[in-house]
Amino acid sequence: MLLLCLCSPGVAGGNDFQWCFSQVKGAIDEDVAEADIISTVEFNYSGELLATGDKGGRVVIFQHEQESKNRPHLRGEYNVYSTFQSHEPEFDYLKSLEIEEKINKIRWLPQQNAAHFLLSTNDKTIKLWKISERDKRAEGYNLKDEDGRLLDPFRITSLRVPVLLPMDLMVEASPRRIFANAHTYHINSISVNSDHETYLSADDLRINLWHLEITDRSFNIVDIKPANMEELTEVITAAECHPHQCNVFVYSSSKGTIRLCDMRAAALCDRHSKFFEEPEDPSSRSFFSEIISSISDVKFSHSGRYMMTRDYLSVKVWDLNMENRPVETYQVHEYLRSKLCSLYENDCIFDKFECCWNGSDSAIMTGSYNNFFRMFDRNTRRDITLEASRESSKPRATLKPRKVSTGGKRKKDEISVDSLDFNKKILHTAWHPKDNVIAVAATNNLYIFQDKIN
Amino acid sequence: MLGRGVKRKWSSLEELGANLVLDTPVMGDNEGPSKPDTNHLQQRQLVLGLCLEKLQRYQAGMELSLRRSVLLVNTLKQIQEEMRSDSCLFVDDMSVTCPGCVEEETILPLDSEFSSQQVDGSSDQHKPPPAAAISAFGDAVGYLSDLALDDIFEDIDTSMYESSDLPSAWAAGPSWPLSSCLTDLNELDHIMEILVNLRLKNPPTLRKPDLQPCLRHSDCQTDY
Repeated sequence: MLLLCLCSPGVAGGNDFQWCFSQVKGAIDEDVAEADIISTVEFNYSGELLATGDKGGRVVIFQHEQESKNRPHLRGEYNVYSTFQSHEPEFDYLKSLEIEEKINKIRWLPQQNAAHFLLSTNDKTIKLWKISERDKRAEGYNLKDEDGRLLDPFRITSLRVPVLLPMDLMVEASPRRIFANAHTYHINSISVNSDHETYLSADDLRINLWHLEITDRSFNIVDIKPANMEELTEVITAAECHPHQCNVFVYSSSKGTIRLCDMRAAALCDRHSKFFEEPEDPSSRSFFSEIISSISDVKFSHSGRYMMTRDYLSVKVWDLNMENRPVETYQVHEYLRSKLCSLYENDCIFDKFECCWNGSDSAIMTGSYNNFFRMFDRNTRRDITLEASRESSKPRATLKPRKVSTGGKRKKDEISVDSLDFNKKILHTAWHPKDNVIAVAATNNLYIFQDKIN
Repeated sequence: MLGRGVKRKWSSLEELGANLVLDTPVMGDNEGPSKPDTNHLQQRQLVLGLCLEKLQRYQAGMELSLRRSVLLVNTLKQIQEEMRSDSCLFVDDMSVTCPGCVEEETILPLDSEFSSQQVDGSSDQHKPPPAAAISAFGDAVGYLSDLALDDIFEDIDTSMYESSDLPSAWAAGPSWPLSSCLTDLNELDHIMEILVNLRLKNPPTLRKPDLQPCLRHSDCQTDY
C-alpha cells in the first residue's frame, strides 16, 4: 500500500508517495580511487539482478534477496552476487594509445535458462559473460585425482562412476564471447535487439550489428565518417534498438538530433527513415548552444511508442509519430543556463547524463550535480529533486525533496546555485522494471532507494 | 582593482571577468552581428581562448574524445564565422578586442601555415579574417598539431623541426610567403600530413556495407 504524504510528495506512476533510503554500497572513504567510480548501472529484465560497471573494468552484480518473515516492512535487499574483472587495460601498439578498462555500458540478455548473460563493453571490445550458479561438484574421476592431477595410466586398475556431491553455492562468471576489433572509435552504446539474437554497438562514427553467437563478423549499418575527417561536424552519441520491432533502431547525435532507421529499407542505414529535431529557440542562442543540445542518452519507452532524450539541461519525450518537436520537455537544472561559461571552463558541460523510464513509462528519472537527481511524473507534470547522500542514509529514512534557489532571496532549506558541488554528479541511474526501486550511482557509491511501504 | 581608463591585460580580465562577464546571459545576438556589444566580445574572447586551451591540452597516450573535440571545433568555427563577419564591419573594434588572445596564445607558426592550407580551405575565398583568429582556429582544428613531435616519432631526431628554431618571421602568420621558407618546410609539411593521417584518418575499416563479412580471429569460441 502506498503512503499518501503531505510533506514531500514523490513522483512515480501518478501516485504520490515517499522515497526512502534502502541501501548504499561502496566505501565511505573521502578519498575515492579512480577505479572505483561507477560508470554504468543496469537492472536485468526481472529486476532480480542489478549490475554495475566501474572505471577499473570490474562488474559487480547484486541479487535481490527475498524479504524475511520477521521483518515484513523491509523489502528484500540487494546483496553482492558476483564480482568479476570484465576488462583489463590494454595498449594499442599501432596507434600508441592506451585503451582504458572502464566499463562504458552493461546490457542484460533476456533470461532463457538457469544462467544469466550480460554484455559489457569498454571503448573498443564487447564481451558476453555468462553468470551461473554451481552447488554440486563431481568426485571420483577415473583419470585424475582429487586435485585434478592426471593419474599414471598404469595405476588405473578399475573403473568407477563419478558422483555429484553437494557443496557451497558458487557463482561463476565466464566470458563466452569476445567481440573485438570492430570499432575504430569509442563505443558509447550497446543494445540487445528484441529478436534476442542480435545486438548493435555504436561508436562515435559507426554502428555495427552483431549476432550474439558470432564474434568474427559484424555488419556495419551506419557510417557517418566523412571521407575527409576535417569535414567532420557531428558524432553519434547514443543508439538503441526498438523494444519490440527488431528492424528499428535510433541513434542520437552531438547536434541534438535523433535518427530512426529501418533495417528493412537497406543493408546500410545511412539514410534514416525519420529525423527528430526541435527547431532552436533563437532567443536562447549562445556560444554553447550546440554543446548543450548534444544528446547524451536516448531510451525507448517500454511500450515502444515514445523515446526520451537527455541533453545537457533538459529531458525530452518524443512521440515516434511526431518528428518536428518533442511532446514533453522537462527542465533538469535550468538554473545552470546562466553558469554555462563556468561549466564550459571546468569541462562539466561535456558530462554525459543518462536517463531512464520507470516500469510503466509514467515517470522518468535523470541525474544532476551536487548528488541531486530528478524525477518527473508525466501524468501530473510534477517533478522532484532528491539527493543521494550519506547523511540521510538511515534505514527507511525518507528522502527530503531538495530545492535550488533560482535568483532572488534564498529561502530556508534551499541551496544556492553557487554552492552546488559540481564534482558530485549523478550520471547513471536505473529504475527497477516492475517495482519502485531505483539505483543511483554517485561517484563510487551505489544508492538504492524504494517507495515507502506503510 | 584597476583605475578607470587603464587598459587591462587579458590575464587580469580573465581573472576578473571569469565570473562577472561570463555568467551573464551570453550573446547579444538579438541585436544582430552588426552591433556587437563589449560584453559579448569579451565573452567571445574568453570562449575562444578556452576552446583553444582545451583543444591543446592533449593528454599524451590517451585518445581524445571525438565528441568533445568536434563540439569544441564547431564552437570555434561559430566564433570564427562571427569574427569574420565582424571584421568586415568593425575592423577597428577587432583590433581592440582581439589582441588579448593573440598575444597570450603562443601559436605555433607551422600550425597556422599548415592549417590555412589543409584545414581551412575555404578561407582564401573569403576576405581574409583577422590573422590571429584564423591561425588560432587552424591551430586547434589540426587536432594534433599541438602534439610534441617527439611523442610520435620517438626514434626520429625531431630537433630540427622544433618551432623555436624557426625564424621569427614565421610568426607573422599565414601571409608569410611560402617560397622563402626553410628548405625543411616540405619535410615539415610531410610530417604534419603523416600526423594527420595517423590521428585523423584512422586505418580504413574492414567492414563494408555490402554485407561482406570480414573475418577475424576469435578468442573465445566456447558454447553459449
